[in-house]
Amino acid sequence: MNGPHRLAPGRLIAIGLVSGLLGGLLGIGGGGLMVPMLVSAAGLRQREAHAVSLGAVVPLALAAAITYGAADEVRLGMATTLFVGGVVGAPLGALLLSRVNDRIARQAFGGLLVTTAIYLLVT
Amino acid sequence: MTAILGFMALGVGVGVLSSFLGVGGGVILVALLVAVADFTQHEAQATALAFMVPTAAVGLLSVRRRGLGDIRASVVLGASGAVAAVAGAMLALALPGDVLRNLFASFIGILGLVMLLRPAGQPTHAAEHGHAATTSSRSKTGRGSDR
Repeated sequence: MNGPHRLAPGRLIAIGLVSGLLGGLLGIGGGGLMVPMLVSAAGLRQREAHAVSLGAVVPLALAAAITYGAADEVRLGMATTLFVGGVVGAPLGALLLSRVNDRIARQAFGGLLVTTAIYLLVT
Repeated sequence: MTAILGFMALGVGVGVLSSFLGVGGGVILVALLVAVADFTQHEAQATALAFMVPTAAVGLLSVRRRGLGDIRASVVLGASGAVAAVAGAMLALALPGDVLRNLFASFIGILGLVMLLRPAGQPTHAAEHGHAATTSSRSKTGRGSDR
């Protein structure tokens, strides 16, 4: 079963438009939005959805970053430094993934997001 | 120098969280840049997006080596996504910083609540049965069972 090959272009375009708009508006890229939509609306397996979304995030994030860059908002040195750190961090994350309870990790991350949201809203 | 090391450490943390939780690293990166690194909301979003380009490219190479993904689907998704992302970015640039910040905070607050209340996670192996799983996978994710 090669789900991706049967994906209706109309659904892909709709998913792209929604994730692109929010991804550009909120600076979050859209990959995290695409994956659940590709799974639930387009019927992809999680791993396939993740792989397809990575290919889409490259042009999406680039287009958005260029738009912000034109307004001189990108701090390129910082982005580069973060990327170098991210290259080191990704394998550590994969290692953790095999050792730590996913449910607890999601709750911890959810708690971190809620706390940060409250902090951002009140300060 | 300390600042550079700090940002590199932040990058390590974002890399860990992204590959660990499968959440776009962007969400946590924007939040941390604003809350901890004193970026404006616009700068944080712009910088996070620039960070994502090479990060996603490296991730793409890694999944392609394992034979996953579908370039045609990615191109369709990425092309429509890029057009909408430019519109989204222009909308963000038109908004005042504090409005954008509150919008972003509301979004991550809701996302965080969903993760706290429904920590079932993503169905890594759901939809094994291709199309047949389109509807049944919903009930396996935990979302369906909550209702």
